[in-house]
Amino acid sequence: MGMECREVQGFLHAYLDGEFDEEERVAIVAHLQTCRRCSELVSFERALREKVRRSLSEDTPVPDTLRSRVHKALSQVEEPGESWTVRGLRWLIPAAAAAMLLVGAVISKRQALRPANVLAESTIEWHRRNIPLDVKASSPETVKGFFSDKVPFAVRPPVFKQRQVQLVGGRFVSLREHAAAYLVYRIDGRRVSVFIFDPTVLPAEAQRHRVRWHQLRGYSVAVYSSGGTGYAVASDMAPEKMVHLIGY
Amino acid sequence: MTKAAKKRKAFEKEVLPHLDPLYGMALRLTSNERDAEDLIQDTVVKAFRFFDRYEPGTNIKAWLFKVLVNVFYNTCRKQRNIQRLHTEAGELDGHLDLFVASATTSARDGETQLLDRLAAKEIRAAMEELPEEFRLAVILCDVYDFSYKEIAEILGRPVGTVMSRLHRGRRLLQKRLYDYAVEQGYIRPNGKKMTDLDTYRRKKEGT
Repeated sequence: MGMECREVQGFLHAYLDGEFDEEERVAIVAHLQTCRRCSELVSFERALREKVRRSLSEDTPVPDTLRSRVHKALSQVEEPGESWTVRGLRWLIPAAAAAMLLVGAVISKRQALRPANVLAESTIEWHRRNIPLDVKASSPETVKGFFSDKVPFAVRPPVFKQRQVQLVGGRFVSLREHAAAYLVYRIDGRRVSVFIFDPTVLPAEAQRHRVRWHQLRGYSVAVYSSGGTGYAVASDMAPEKMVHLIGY
Repeated sequence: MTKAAKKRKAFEKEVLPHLDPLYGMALRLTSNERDAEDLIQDTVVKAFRFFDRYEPGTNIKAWLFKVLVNVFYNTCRKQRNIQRLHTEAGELDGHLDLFVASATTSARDGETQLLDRLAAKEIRAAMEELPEEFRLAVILCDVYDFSYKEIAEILGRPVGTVMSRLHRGRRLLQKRLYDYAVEQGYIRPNGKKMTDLDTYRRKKEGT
């Protein structure tokens, strides 16, 4: 369904901030192609936003003195309350159960803290937000060309074995503050996000010939490396389907 | 290694990579290095104390920003002398139309674009003048790329409030920049770009 000028202007910020879902995005883009006034407004807002971003983005690195101050302050903090909860529980429930609980807690906490999990988190975050794409093309060559001057590594869009997988396009994103290429594929109407990154700056445990799987909040993420480039594939597909998709 | 040391190590591994953006935000909030450093130290210590409240698997950066904003509001906030910009929404929209028209004309004519003539310094100054609640929302969105939901979480406000603050904040910012562009003679108040140098000089001499 088409959008009216008033709606476009009302939701302009949400659109530019990447809060629109695919359908809404298609509707606004269709309107912008036919309405010069709205399209000028969008260009202006986008340019101004970019300007604001650039003017404010210069980051001052944390001074070394502050880093050591933080370390010192942390070493002086007494153990937070968590440990006594576990100790207290141990008195309340049978020893065996307590041991199980403790083991479980340790595993889940470790799991959560692993850097690869953090990477998986960021990929899900981007995948979930369904942000507008900078380049829309089904040809891997076009998408590859788009990234050639944007990221410091070769972007080779993965070719999936299943024929019904279609490349939709891509955009430049930052994954844990590092440049990454974000590609969107479609399979049976579902979105699959593929992130391509430099595995040396994102030591994502993306080891050669080995896929790391993450299951977080209903999403599946596969992290692997191939030909010196890191890949992370995220979708809400069932894990078995994902395995089938990426061929592992 | 003791259990406490292990815990601290795990915390540091997770949190310290975000220290640079946190410090950047602290500087933007406090506008001076000393307060920013105090704010960072308090934030990190507080985050460590409450680390078990962080829900693993959720966005740690957003969580840390939430702690930072909380600490700022609770301890560091000084009554800053902000010249508040109170303007009616209708009036702001009127300015926007003129601003868009001027920017678009300059872009179409292939001249130095209007927006390019606005200096970073000027944008930062305009940002400084925004009422704090608007400023925070705009910075979290434009500089740190947080989603509306994350900003809502960080500020402890509903998403609808975040959206209206962003909307209003950006309009105020545009108004301020528009006024500046007019002051500098980049655009005429009626929306037309000033292109005739002689007219411009005559006008300047006359004032």
